[in-house]
Amino acid sequence: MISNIIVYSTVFLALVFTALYLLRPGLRKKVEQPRYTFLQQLSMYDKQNAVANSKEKNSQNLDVRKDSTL
Amino acid sequence: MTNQATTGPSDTFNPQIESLLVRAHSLAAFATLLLAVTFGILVSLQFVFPDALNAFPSWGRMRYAHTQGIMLGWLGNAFFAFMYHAVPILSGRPVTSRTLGVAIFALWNFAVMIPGWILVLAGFSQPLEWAEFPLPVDVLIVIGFVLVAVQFLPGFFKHGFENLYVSSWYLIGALVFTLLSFPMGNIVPELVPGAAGAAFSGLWIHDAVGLFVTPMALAILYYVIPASTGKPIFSHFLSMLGFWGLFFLYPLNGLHHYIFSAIPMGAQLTAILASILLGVVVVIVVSNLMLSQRGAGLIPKNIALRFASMGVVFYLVVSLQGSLQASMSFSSLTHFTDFVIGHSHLAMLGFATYAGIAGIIHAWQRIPGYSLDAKMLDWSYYLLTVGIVLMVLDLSVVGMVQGEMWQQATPWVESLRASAPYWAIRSLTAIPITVGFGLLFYALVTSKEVADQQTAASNAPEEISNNSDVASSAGFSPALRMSYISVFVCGIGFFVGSVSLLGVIPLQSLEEETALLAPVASLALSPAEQRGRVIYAREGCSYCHSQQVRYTEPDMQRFGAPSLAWEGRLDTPHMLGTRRVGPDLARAHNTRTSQWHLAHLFAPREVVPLSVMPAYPELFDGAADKPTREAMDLLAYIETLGRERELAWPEGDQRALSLTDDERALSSLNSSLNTGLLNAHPARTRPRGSAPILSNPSADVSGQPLFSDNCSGCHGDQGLGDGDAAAWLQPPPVNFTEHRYNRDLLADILWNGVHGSSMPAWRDFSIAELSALAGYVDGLSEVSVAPVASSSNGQQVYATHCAECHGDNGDGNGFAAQNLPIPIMPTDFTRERLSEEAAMRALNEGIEGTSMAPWGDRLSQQEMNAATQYVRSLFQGMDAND
Repeated sequence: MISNIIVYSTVFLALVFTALYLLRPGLRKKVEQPRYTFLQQLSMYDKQNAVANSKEKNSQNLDVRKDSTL
Repeated sequence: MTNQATTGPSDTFNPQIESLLVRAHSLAAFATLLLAVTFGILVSLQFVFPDALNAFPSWGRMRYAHTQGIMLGWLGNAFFAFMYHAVPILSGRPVTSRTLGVAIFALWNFAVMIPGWILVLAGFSQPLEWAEFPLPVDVLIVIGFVLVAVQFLPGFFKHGFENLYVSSWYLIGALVFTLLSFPMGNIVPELVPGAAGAAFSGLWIHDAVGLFVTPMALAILYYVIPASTGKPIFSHFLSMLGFWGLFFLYPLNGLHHYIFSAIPMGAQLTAILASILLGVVVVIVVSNLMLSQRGAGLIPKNIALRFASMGVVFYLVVSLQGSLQASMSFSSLTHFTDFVIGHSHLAMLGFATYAGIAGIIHAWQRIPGYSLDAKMLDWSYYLLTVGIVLMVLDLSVVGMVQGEMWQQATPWVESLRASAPYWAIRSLTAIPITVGFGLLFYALVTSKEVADQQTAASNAPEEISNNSDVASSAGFSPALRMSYISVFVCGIGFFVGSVSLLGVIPLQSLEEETALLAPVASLALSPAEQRGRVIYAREGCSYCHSQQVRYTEPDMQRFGAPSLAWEGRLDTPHMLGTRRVGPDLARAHNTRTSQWHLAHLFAPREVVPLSVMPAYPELFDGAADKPTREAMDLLAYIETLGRERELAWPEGDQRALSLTDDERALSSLNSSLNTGLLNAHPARTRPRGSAPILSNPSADVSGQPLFSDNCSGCHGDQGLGDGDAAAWLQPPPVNFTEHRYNRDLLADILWNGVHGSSMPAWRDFSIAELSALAGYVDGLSEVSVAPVASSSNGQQVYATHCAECHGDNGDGNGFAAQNLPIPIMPTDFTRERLSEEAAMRALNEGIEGTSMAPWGDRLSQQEMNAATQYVRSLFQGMDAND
């Protein structure tokens, strides 16, 4: 009895989710959005990382130059 | 070091990656991994060189250290390392605090792992699978998980649920659900006894994998694959379907570790069903992950992607294995065998480990200024893959072999012999695996500092998808946000429901059954027995000896009546076990003598030559006949296993039968009452059962190897009664050259054992094997079967001095026989003839360990000669009708 409830409720929820996904283009777009957002976040991180590193390197170079002038 | 981005296209995107903590957890992960693998290798070598590891801590303790090291030390640190890299990017915000990170690192490694290992190796542990660290360490682990949640989760909550990428969902789910399930699995079985406690323990066994390891590993795979290919995953919809499917179904799986046990069948069926459904969900997840790698090739060039890709394959195989193993037919064949060990290695060392490695490599390669040696990583990948695939194949095959042999009436030691080459191969597969891990560790330790551009170039994805139109789409609807939150709350509710369904309801049901069927008077463990139980748990005995006779025909034939729930009502924590290297001990009570057990504990192979059991000389003062109190305590505990059921039988089972309508309880009670199967090895407990009629030995079965494998430890290679264990046994094992047994008596001894001696029953053997063994033993005898003349004087001496024990006609059933101080029945001279020399020696000196007294100082030489001849004349021939 309990087993039946589990099977039916799981399948029902999955079917509802699938049906909404297929029938509602707006929802589909929103559900799929995070996979693109994630790539954008990765891309932003890589860019920021590169900028931060180059700044860090420049400041290190400046420090080296300062040291050398001393 | 903080890798901080100060500028960017979005003001809200401000990840700060704590590279120092990424590196610290990565290095700690591999350090603990190598230690845990070392424990694993030592554990596996026990089966290949059983006597070579006496210098190390006992097998069980190293086994505890191995599993906890893999799950908490290796995977815990690996997942945390990945999270320090991934969470700031996924949430767009830094973790809560670097100081908190240092505290978590210190807590996890210096307050959990190192003390946990030390305590376990010193003998302070819990005999619960995947929960072996003792309770004080468990408390620290819970604190650790709370701190980890505080460290990583706030960023996600600020980020907003509706925009969470699937990896974020998995990380949140893993932390939340582990916080719920860890205390349940580690603490509840310490409070709830027997099968009910096992139900909670079973839930945790699977929750540890399903709610901690799997979500973390899938979070990594969903992260590393798109980050490496530069393409979005195939479908976020499918990933979310898989996510919710896993979190809804995994908590229901745990009880499939106890199929055919005393746990209510409804709960077992639920677990089976959930396991099969989970297989469907896994196919969805794996399909999505594989499609997300499209274009990357069968063996991707990017090393992190390559590990992730193989992790996906391992995940598919191990999940389908799991669904298959949960089915009743396959479970009856493979449960308790090495197939399950192969399965768990594929899950933890294959799937989860490959994901962990992928996560670490991905994160490490993005630490500015660090680069990993590509060749070393390549070698590591191939060595690990070859090693793990071979190990899992090997364990799967040997598991099937063991299962098949256990289904047949094959002697237990035969399964050990059949397993030996597979165990050797398994140990050999540790070589490529260890070298592979070592190379990875070495690659991290020696990672080179290189130019940043070079690092970035080498790790950059091949293609960055620019889907700005989709990415910049309008905000999310409140409905979607609410639906995610609702489902998440439902998920937690479902977890609580699953614990109720598979833990609390069975607990109530088992308590009711126990109250109904258990004997009125409870026989609690004495202090010595309780101390012995602690030793049994400490040494991990339950990892090789289960304590549950399942409701399966092969189990009942081999061990006796299936276990009833009430039998474990005082067992806290339970020690039902999930593996059998040695036989089940649920019916161990009174089947063997103390001397046998002590000799076996001191030097197992001197008693059972093919045994792979660890020796426990530390429990003795140098010899098997000099046990310490700990040895005696352990012995006392072993003697309690099945004792209550034994004492209650048959009246208790008859009473219970009249009270219950539970189908499986009825089956168990009927099997014990109608077939006399309460104990399949009733050497000392039951009246002698009807021994089978032995046939003439066939040419197909040789008695010699059977004798060598099973009898020579006590009786010696030549049957002279001088085996390695003989010195510790009283009465001493028989010298077969001096005895001639009637076929019926020999069958009776083999089938029932010898009550009061160390000779056990040998019911594992088939009739053909017993016949072959009897034929071989008979062939060792040098005693003639020709008629022996006797004198009236001999008859008179016998009647005066011997008949009261040996019976008027010499059948060993005199009026005093039933009340002898040492409960070994006197010799039946009608069915056993001694050589003249042996009979004379026994009469003159008595027999140690029996009630046979020396008569040398009471009878003249002439009287003894006459009596000797008389008793030898009583032998009625090899067959009853001779």
